[in-house]
Amino acid sequence: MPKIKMTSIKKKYDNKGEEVIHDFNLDIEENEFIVFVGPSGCGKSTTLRMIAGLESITSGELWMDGKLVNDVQAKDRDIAMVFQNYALFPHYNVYDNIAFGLKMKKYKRSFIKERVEQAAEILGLTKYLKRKPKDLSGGQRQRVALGRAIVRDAHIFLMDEPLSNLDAKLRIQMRKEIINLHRRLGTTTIYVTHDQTEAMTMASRIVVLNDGYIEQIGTPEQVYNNPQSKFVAEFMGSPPMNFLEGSVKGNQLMLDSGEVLGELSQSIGDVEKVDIGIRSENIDIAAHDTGINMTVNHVELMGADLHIHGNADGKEIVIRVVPSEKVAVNEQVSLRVNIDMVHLFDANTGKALFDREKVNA
Amino acid sequence: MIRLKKAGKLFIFLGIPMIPLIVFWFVPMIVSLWLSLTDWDYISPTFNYVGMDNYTYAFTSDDFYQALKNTVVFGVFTVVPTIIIGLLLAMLLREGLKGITFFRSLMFSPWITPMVAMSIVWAWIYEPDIGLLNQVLGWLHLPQPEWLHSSSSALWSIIIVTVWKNAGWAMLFYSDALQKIPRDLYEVSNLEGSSWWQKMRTVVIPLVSPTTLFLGIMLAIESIQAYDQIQVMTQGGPSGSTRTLLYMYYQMAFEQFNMGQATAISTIIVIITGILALTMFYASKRWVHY
Ligand SMILES: Nc1ncnc2c1ncn2[C@@H]1O[C@H](COP(=O)(O)OP(=O)(O)O)[C@@H](O)[C@H]1O
Ligand SMILES: [Mg+2]
Repeated sequence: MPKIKMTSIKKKYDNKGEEVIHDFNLDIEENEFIVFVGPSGCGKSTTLRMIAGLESITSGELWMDGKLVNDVQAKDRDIAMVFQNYALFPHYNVYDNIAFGLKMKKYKRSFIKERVEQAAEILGLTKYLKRKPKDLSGGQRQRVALGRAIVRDAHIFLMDEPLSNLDAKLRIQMRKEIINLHRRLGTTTIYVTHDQTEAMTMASRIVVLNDGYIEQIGTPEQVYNNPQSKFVAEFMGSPPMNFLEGSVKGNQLMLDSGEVLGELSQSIGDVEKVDIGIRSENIDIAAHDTGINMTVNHVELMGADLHIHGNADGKEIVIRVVPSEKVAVNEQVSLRVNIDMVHLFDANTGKALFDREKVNA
Repeated sequence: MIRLKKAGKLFIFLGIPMIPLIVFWFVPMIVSLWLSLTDWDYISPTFNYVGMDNYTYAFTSDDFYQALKNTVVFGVFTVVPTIIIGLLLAMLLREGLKGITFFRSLMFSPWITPMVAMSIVWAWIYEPDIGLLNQVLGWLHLPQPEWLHSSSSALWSIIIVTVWKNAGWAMLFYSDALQKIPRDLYEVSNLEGSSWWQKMRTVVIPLVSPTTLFLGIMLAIESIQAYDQIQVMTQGGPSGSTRTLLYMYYQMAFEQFNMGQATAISTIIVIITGILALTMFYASKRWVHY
């Protein structure tokens, strides 16, 4: 029995004409760390808030532990939520903020004390229990919000962009802390973010959302290696996937310019217009002329990698090479594409034309 | 040179605005304080210096203590209900409700109506035999008090009018304060299962506390200075039951022409007001959260 089961869930806000979530279907198992990822406005928060019970479900069914909960009040769903803006009580100190849920439920003082101190210990807040939120740093506030969620021993954690107000360094640190916390507590978690890196590094499964539709559900590897739509291919991964336009004829993959990229190892039939997706690590600088040329626009040394940005076949692309590669701006280089790693998408529907993982298996 | 310029600026920006304060507040205060040490009768060109006599007289007269008690009762029972009703009204008339602007204006209209005009209407409403209130109570078979005509109910009648007039005003400030409470605090409360009263105690009351302090001080000062409604409805009666310190001051000055004693009372009023405002201000450090 899945921990959470969502079937055909739809959402339409009262004050807004069109539907914002269309036919959402998802099963979440116990202990999973699910990440909803997608651009701003795609409906991540809306979906999360429907699960929390803060927003009504227009149609469809939401099940938790085999119980239909559409009409169960938020407080009876046994869920703890971490908000983007922390939602701390400004007039309470750290202790009282963490203790909030337990106090509302009128637990014994000694029990509350024990739980709060334990949570503070886990989160490294012991020294700050007497401080008010305004005297804490962003990262500490975020930990207090996490503390309030974990003392309750809720069955499900929901987190809505909990790290988006932190600076880059702290974000990476808190990312680790949240993962460790999840490992330690094993609580089923749904985590919302617009940051694909967070999704890739944290999730046990990713749900990619676009415009109220689920684009793909899968592990980080599946989503990265086998994107089922051009949207997912573009959205997941950094630097983003490169796209060239072309066609398939007799298993030959051709660019619109006429250059042949290579022969596909699987037959998909002839396709007049395909979008060819190639990750930056699957393009190299060739020693000889391949007919696919790129003009270098600029070069970024990322430490272990060198990112070369340029124009090829009328498209902006990025390739990732070893730092020892020597290229100069405005230089013309020849590219070699690893044909066994390209992703093909129907230019009209954006759907993947084959599963890259199955082909390579 | 620079110093001179600075001093000049200081005078322009601080000194000039101070002028009206000095002319219209500080000088009369000093004059009044000095008058309270005399037996001037408002008309005669001469008077005697009597030292603290006026104060001794005040502090030993029963009338003074009755007026003091009336002032306190009037203050507490106008300020506290006005604040509570104002907050509840603001919560009731949340944004998003249909016809909100209409209801708000309705609630606010007593505040912009002159107290004198309102008091005249209420004096009629309160009329024991022909007034609206007792008519209604009669239909409902409820007891019909004498309202303004009985010393046991007159002060309460005036309190009701005053609360009614000010509640809409308090509501307006609370409406604004409520809007500024982050929505996610309510959502946390909903998730954690807070009851209505727990939400009030943990979210609403603490987060509107700066407004409560402001309203508390304003309304307290206003209650001490209440005059119009007493003048129109009861003139301090029956038998002094609605005579507050301020009304006592007025009677002594302009009915009995005893300027010395009147100004002594006024000095006491100023001191009480000052102490009250300061206490509320300092006490607020413990319960007001900015
Ligand atoms: N309270 C609301 N009332 C009306 N429309 C809303 C409300 N909240 C969100 N929306 C709309 O629903 C869509 C999804 O929003 P949201 O779930 O907040 O997206 P995300 O969290 O992915 O950025 C957006 O088009 C947004 O404008
Ligand atoms: Mg959101």
